[in-house]
Amino acid sequence: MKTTSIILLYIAFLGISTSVALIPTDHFVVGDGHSIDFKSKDPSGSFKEMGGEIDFDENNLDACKFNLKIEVSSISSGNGMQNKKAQTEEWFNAKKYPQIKFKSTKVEKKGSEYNITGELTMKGVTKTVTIPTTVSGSGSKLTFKGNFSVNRMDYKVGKKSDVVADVMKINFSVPAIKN
Amino acid sequence: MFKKYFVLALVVAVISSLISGFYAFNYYKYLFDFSIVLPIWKIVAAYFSIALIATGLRFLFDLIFPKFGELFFNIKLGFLTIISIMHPILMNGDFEMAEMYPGFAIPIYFIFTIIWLVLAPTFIKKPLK
Repeated sequence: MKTTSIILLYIAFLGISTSVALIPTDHFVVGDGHSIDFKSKDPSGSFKEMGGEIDFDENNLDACKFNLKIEVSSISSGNGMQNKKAQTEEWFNAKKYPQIKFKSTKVEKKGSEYNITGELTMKGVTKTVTIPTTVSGSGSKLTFKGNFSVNRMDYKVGKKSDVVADVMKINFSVPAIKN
Repeated sequence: MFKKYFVLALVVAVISSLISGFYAFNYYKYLFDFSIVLPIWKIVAAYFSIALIATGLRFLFDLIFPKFGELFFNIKLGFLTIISIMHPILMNGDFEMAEMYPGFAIPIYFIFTIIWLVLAPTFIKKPLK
């Protein structure tokens, strides 16, 4: 009787621990076809290169994590001179701060959207932002889309100017592939 | 008779989990955060699963080869531990700082075996001749 109980306990422990160990993590990486566009009166353009990791489970939002990086050198405004200028010390200072980073701290569901709150770091300045995002797709491929605004003056990107708008509207579409 | 094997598995799993959990927690905090690739709860669950499978095999080895069960099992354990490090080396590193992942993960593969080899003789005693 005692031996039977121990064997049953052994089987139960083995079953539980193996099932837990084999649970797939909801880990995604940024896939191809992403777009990060910025729009203002002048200039407009996009960042062509980005990467990062996303941990997304709609049933467990506390465990969701977004860790994204955009390469400043990939900026494209459709004007070669502007692209070069954007990387100078006065603007993004790409040499010292080669990446724009976003690290989430909280993900909340609001209707059909998700509010992703996190720290946006640009040119060494970190500010907390909340980004409303929609999620489409399922299984091994999800796409996160949304838009939000960034005031470049908050991040000391460039100087106050009548030519370049302070507030940039950011539109993004980030496909994520299960790793 | 099986009870001591079962207790050995649980003790090895708990101690390995504590050591690896401490190692991973500090690695994620101070060096690089791989927690979304390998969360600590997954390491703990894997240790329990492996410890229970190992103890079942050790029990069978001792039943089938009463004289050489321990030797055969330890050879198998050492061989599998060395082979298993190919997993982090060869895994598809499609994530940030993937080149650092094997350096982080390989010690985790050895912690279990070291703890097992240290504790097994205490739980499964061979009669002195």
